[in-house]
Amino acid sequence: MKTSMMKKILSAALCTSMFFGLTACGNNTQQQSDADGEKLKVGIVQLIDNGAFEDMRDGFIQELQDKGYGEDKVEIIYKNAQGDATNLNTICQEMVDSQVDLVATIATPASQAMVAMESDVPIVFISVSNPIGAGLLTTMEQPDKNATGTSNAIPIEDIFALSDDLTPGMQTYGLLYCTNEVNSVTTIENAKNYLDEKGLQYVEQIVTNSSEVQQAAQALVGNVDAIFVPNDSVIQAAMPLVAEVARDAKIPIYGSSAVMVNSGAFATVAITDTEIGMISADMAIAHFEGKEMAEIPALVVPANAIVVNEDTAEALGVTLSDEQKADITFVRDSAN
Amino acid sequence: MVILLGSLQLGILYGMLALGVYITFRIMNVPDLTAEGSFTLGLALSAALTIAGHPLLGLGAALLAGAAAGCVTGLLHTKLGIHPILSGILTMSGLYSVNLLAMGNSSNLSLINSTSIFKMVGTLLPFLDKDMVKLLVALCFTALCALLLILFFKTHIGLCIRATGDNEDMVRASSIHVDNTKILALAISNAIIACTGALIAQYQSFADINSGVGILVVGLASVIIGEVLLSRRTLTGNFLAVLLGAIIYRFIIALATKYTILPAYMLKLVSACIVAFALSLPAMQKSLAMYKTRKEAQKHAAAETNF
Repeated sequence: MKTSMMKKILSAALCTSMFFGLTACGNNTQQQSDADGEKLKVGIVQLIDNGAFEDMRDGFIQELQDKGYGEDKVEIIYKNAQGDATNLNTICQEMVDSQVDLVATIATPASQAMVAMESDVPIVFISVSNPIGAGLLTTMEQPDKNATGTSNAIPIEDIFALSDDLTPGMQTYGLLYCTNEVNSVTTIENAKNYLDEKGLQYVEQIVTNSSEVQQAAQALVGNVDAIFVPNDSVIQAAMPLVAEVARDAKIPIYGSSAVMVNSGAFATVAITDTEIGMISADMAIAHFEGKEMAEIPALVVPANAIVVNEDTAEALGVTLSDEQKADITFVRDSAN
Repeated sequence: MVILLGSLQLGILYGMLALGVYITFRIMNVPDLTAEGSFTLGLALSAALTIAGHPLLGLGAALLAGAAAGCVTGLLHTKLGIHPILSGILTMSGLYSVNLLAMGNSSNLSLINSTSIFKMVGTLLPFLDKDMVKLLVALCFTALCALLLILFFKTHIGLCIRATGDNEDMVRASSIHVDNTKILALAISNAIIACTGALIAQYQSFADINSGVGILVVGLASVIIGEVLLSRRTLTGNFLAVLLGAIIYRFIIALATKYTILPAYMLKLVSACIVAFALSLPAMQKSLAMYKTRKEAQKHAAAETNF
């Protein structure tokens, strides 16, 4: 009897403390912003941790600081759902609740969750491969859902042209990707169309999680001349593994981001993730300086930097002419 | 306020998921891993049909498909003699491909421009504000689901299912087909879980192939929190406790999200700590009671030696 009574009291206490915990925090932040006066609050929402997303976030924050929106003027509220999609809705609700002046959302699901809130918080999305398809806006030129931002189309043609230039005579490409991500599947569709047009062969290897990557890469060895990897965070995370397999088999890997080349892929034509973050930050700044969100067109960020991993080039025995070297940014295997 | 209302909406919606998990985890005594697949299955079907303009049909399709997924796990377990946990894992991983098929081989579908059930009710009841509509719809579906389950588990077949979980041998001895009751329980559980997925897709306006990751943990945590805070002997009481547990779990997540003192990467650790604290309350009560008794006894003992 006594314990059940105590249980009741305790549970009631827990519930009320939680309720007040939430409302109280809300009040606090409100008071804070009132006290600080003009300090802007910028939220950053991210679904999961990975290298590319971190670079985008760093680029975004760095650009704000460089353009005069440093820590004295802007409070950054960064939230990460840590891979749990059920947390994403709560995080977006929290952003609206703490009355941020702008939210930057990284990649597709986070952007969709925030736009679906239909709040009056302006949204700058970072690196959404197909913003119209994702329902974030109707036309790129005139954002209509209080959200604008950047899209990172992967320059398929440029990447295969780079392959023809650096390692001529590739007949069969291995396409290595994870079906989890809309970004990579869209890119693979484009790649297949391109290869079909050129009359080149391809072999697909699909993974559903990171534990399958090594075997998928090994399955490609012997069947393909080169490997193409789309902007896929699962393969990207396991790139050192894939690179090792490919180096041993003397197969060049053409990646879709500079991060991949840093971790052992041979080469890519890419915009760096930091730059995408910076361009997105410029949009946020345009809004802070008085522009309506509808007046800031969303951008497909063009890629133009050729990045080559020197360690991989040596392992593959690829030698480059001085003329080729002139346009290339060389990197070596990064420590992590 | 937004996060308070939002957490309540999500809590009520995930309450339905917790009911589904409760059926397998507590009534049948087997943690069913099919849940991660069937949740996404419901999400995918509902999204695809909502885009085609049939949000209600999406719910129905999710219900049926979820039940079918549960049947597959049940058949693998009962007829083919595969370990129950492994059966669930097999169905879950097979469903991954089925889910991609349902979404038209795309890992992400957007419903932002489509009419969901929430938007439909919003236009029907224009005097209610958007958040109230969401709350109302969530409440209606979850209440309906709980009511039907309460009624069902009082019928003959419902009692058979409960008895199977309690004492399989006894039920078999009473010449009740144990395999059938197990399959039925799994079908009902997964139908409810898929239906939760269907509602969540329309609630958040998008479906992503990764949405089911970790969903079983959400369900289990809700069930256990509910039991700890409000354990009752009747099934109805337990169902209500589970719903409450789901709402409290959402508030815990909201609290962990609110914390700006700790860096963002601490979210999972913070929420794990709060859940662990909630779960340890009964044990703490027990040791507190024990401590008091001991102190009392010491007092008496001291008093006695004084004489």
